[in-house]
Amino acid sequence: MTAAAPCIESTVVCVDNSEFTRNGDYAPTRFQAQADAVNLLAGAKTQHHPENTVGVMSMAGRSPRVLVTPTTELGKVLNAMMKMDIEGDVHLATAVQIAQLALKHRENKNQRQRIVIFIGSPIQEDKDSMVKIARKLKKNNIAVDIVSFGSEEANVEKLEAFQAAVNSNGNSHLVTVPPGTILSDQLFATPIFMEEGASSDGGGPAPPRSNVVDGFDYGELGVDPTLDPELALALR
Amino acid sequence: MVATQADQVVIHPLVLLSVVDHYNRVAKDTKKRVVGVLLGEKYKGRIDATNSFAVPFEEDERDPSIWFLDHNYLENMFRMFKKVNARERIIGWYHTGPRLRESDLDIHALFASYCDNPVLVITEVQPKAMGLPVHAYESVEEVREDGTQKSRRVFVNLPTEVGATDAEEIGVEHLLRDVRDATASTLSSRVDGMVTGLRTLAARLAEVQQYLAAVVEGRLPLHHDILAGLQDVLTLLPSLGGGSLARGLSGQVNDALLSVYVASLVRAVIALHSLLENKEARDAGKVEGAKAAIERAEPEAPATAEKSKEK
Repeated sequence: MTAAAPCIESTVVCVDNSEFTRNGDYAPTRFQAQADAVNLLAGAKTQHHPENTVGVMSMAGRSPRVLVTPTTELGKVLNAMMKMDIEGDVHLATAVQIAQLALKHRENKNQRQRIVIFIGSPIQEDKDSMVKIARKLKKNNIAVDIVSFGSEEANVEKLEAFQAAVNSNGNSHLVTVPPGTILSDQLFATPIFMEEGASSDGGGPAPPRSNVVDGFDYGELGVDPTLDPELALALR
Repeated sequence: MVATQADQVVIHPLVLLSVVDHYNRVAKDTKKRVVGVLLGEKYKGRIDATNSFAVPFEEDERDPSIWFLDHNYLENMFRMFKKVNARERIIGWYHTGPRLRESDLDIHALFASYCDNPVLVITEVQPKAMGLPVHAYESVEEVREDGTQKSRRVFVNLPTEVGATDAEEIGVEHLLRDVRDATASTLSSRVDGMVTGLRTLAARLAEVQQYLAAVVEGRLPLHHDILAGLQDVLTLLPSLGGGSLARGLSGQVNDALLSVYVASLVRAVIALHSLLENKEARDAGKVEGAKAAIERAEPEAPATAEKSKEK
């Protein structure tokens, strides 16, 4: 296992807090499953490299808002996810452009830029405008990961076109999560959690570091052992 | 939480300088605007903005809902400022406008999480001929009386002025020493002030006229407070048409002019008198000088006459 030079990354996570996320097809609700996934993702990113920053923004409501500007403090991310309200409908185009602005103003210009979008409701924008935005993102070297859950069939062609347009050398991924499963676990095996060229221990650095935040012991592998002990054992 | 509206906003000169400096550093000669935070105190309805700092801000010109303000930066910066002066709190924010924009309400809502009832101060950085370059606004919920529309937030103007503590005034005076033209006498500067004041008055009257025309046409809603205020202004105007007043005024003006005329006559006469005295004194001096010269010349003449006799 050769660990490539760790790449420092700045991530902005766009969270879907529209009314569609009240749906219970992911346990306990779409929104809650999403929140867990975001928390795990933020933990994995900050564990991967101490200078990685993660920011959070909500996409739905009156207008998309940045709740946490990219920071290394995991506590702020968790706080923001807890305080987020469910309201309105998603404004995807606006949200992505705001995320782009937020990444533009990151403190460490050496960090690579990445946007992770969780989309759990039907997208209102048409395919052409999505592709146009994707091209702009690609021009600015922003990688985009998309997690589609909830309305997968409705969004599949728009998201695939988007991902194809924004992808450069495989840095962007589209993950579709079928209903009835645990969102965070599904994400765990995907390249979204495991960075390209990173040590393949499932998102954790070689020396085990226990990341105890707010009472959650993420363990050395970024998996809550109580959530799924079999998965944790399998990965060990 | 219902917070009472502030009565007055006082901007200190340091804030004005900082805002202009911020604009010059970041967005000089561009159409972009810069945004920053105002620090100060709020006491009994009077808000004093004593200090300020800039925050990274960016927005999309074409889409007003796309904007980003780094609040991590804001919190860190405020924490540092608090260490310097613990009494300064966040009281609002500023931007360089020059006008209100659509995203301002959203940004205002963001600042509401840092202080209750924040104040927005728009500072115009391009030099204006007259008037204050600062305008302060507060956001209030406006409920339509007929209840048909949902209540929305609007910006309401607040009376603003530029004030300074004694120490700040001394500092400003020092700065102005290089800027102010020292050769301008007090009279010309007072005339300048009068002219500026009159120009401002003319502009305000034109604005009032436009407003009234719009109300008559129905473009603007009828607002009783404004109309009552205008009525007061017009009734308080003194009536200058009366005959006795005109006669009294012209009598007084003529008396003053008469004394000026007499005084200038007297001055001319005195000047001529002194001129004549000078001339006489000079002539008398010339005559004496000539006499003295002749007396000196005479003893020499007999002496030379004797010399020629001896020869």
